[in-house]
Amino acid sequence: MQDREFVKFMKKKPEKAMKELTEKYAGLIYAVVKSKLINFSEYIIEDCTADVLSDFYINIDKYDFTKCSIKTWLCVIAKNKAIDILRKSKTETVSIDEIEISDENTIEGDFEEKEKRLAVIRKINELDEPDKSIMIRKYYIGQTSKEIAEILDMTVSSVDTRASRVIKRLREYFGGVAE
Amino acid sequence: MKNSLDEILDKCSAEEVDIFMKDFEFKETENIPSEEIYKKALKKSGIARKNILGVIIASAACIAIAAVGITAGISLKNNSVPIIDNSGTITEEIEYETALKYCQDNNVFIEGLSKDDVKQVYTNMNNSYFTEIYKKYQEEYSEKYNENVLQSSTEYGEKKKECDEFVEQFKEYYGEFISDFNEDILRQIFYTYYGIGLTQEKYKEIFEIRIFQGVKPFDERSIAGLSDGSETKLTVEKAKEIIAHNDDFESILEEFKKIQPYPDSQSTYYNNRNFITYKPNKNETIDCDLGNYGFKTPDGYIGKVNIMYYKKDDDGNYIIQEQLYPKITQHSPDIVDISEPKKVGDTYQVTVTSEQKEPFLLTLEETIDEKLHRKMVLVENGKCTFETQKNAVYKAAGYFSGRIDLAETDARVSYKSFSDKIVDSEDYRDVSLRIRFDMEKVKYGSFSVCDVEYAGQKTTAITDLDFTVKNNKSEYFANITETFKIGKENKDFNVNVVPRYIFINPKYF
Repeated sequence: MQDREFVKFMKKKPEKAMKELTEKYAGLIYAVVKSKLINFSEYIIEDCTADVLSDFYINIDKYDFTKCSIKTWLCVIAKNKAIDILRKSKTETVSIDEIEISDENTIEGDFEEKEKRLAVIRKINELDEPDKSIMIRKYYIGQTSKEIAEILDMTVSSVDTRASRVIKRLREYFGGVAE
Repeated sequence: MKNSLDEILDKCSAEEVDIFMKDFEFKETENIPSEEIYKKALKKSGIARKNILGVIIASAACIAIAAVGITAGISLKNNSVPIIDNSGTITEEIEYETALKYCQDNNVFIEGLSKDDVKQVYTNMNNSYFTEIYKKYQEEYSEKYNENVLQSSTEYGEKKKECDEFVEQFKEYYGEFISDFNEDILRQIFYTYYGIGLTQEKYKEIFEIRIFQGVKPFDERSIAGLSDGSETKLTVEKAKEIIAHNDDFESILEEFKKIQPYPDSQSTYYNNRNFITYKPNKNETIDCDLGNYGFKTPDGYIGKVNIMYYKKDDDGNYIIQEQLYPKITQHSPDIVDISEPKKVGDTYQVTVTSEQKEPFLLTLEETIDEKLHRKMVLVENGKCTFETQKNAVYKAAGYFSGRIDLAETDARVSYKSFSDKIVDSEDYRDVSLRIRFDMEKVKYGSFSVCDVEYAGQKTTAITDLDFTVKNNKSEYFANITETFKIGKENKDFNVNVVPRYIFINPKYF
């Protein structure tokens, strides 16, 4: 089912759709949340994962299938939800309403940074497997080398070697991306 | 770029992340408490309650789902029954026997009672409740149903079976409470609801207009306004202050209108968190989405700020009531007269007249069925006529002059994709169109008017394409219904953006 059809399906049959959404993406969301909430209990990680799924449903009209896939959208929500929890745990009074607006940058600065970011993304996207999976898992999803090694049936040192090789190439290319 | 890679990736917008995530596979579900997560998600999202409370959601199908929920006896924890009030809030959990009495005394709906007790409770309630809902849907769908050809095609086999089951359950649970209950009519209602046997057009009409009326996305085509950066800026802090000092949406809106909202950064979606969500009460939500699609120019800010107000309708759907955009400060909009929609032949037309003979681009606030959109029209020789709906109301929001004619070669398409993913019928196709193009002559542009051609035909689905040019680049997305076929995923189709005019401060040209 395409993402657009899924949105319609979710509006029409939310319970069934939530089941499908959970089956397909709970693992990914859980991994993203877990990587951010390292010292948190399983209960909080589980709760946050459920929050992400329910947030998708509640704010389904904010999701635009032409701009990104549901998978990506859920990842973005997951990261932000987890960061919220982290922030709240550090300063109990901070709520979503109080998150500060991002720094004002000049248009040139914004543009330049975005261009560089896009270039990094494209470089990662152009990688062959398993390097691409390793980089996404390690640096976007936040899995440990051990977890990645188990999933990709590799040794931990092999994962680390490949990751550092890619980082080195990126650093050479962009001049300054640190590990 | 001195940041670490994970920091860089964390800064990415959803659209950027999608570049590498869309083909990435993550299938691990082992060691994940999926069932627990699912149950929690259902509860947090309110879906579980909605199913049980289907009776207060004016939807025949939901009523049937409620019946299913009751049959399953879900969430009957420790022989207690959660009590849910008419707004969908679980107020408390009580013992089963107490629950029965509570329901009878308070006319509330319950979760987890046996079938016999459900009947007992409903018997004590006002039996006309279901009759009213049933009649409402009967009236609503009967006209549509007359056009239903009721084909027994295999395409609808699964849905038809589902509908038949719903009818059986509905009849069993509620049939006796409905005066003049007619099983065949109920089946027709369900069939119509699920589009069984309807023509694609009719199905689309019912589906889009009826079912998703409350949640249909607003027009996402961004219409930008050039704001004066010297005016008071709407910041998150300011927005919060306004919200904190006003109790109702109308007052909040008035306060927002007094200041100059404009975006000050390029951000989208959740990523930069430039939004505030405020819930005056459980049925209302106000989202202030600041800094969306905006960027700064030496003269001010181009972009839009969304201030969206959602209110739940009787069906529990959110309705978008209002959106605000930056005021357009270049000129006052009071130079035009706008007529009411007048019938011309088979259509309704609005005429805009102005004493200003130089062409200008007028931004209108268009309200149809209480939904506000922005619309741009080109006024030439002091006149403009456009087609609309009978009940549309227009108000001038601002205008741009300074028209510059563009040659066809001024826009060079650098990327295009046409995703023809959903096949609705032989005649209509839902497609996504994405075009990126470079405009060497234009550094910043606020509005442009273009024609779009592809596959050798000028599309009728896009008219007066509007977009924003930044650093000589622009991008356009559209979800359109097209009447001709191009191909499921096609990046090689021939597309030609023909720029006609751009309205812009000449110094950026």
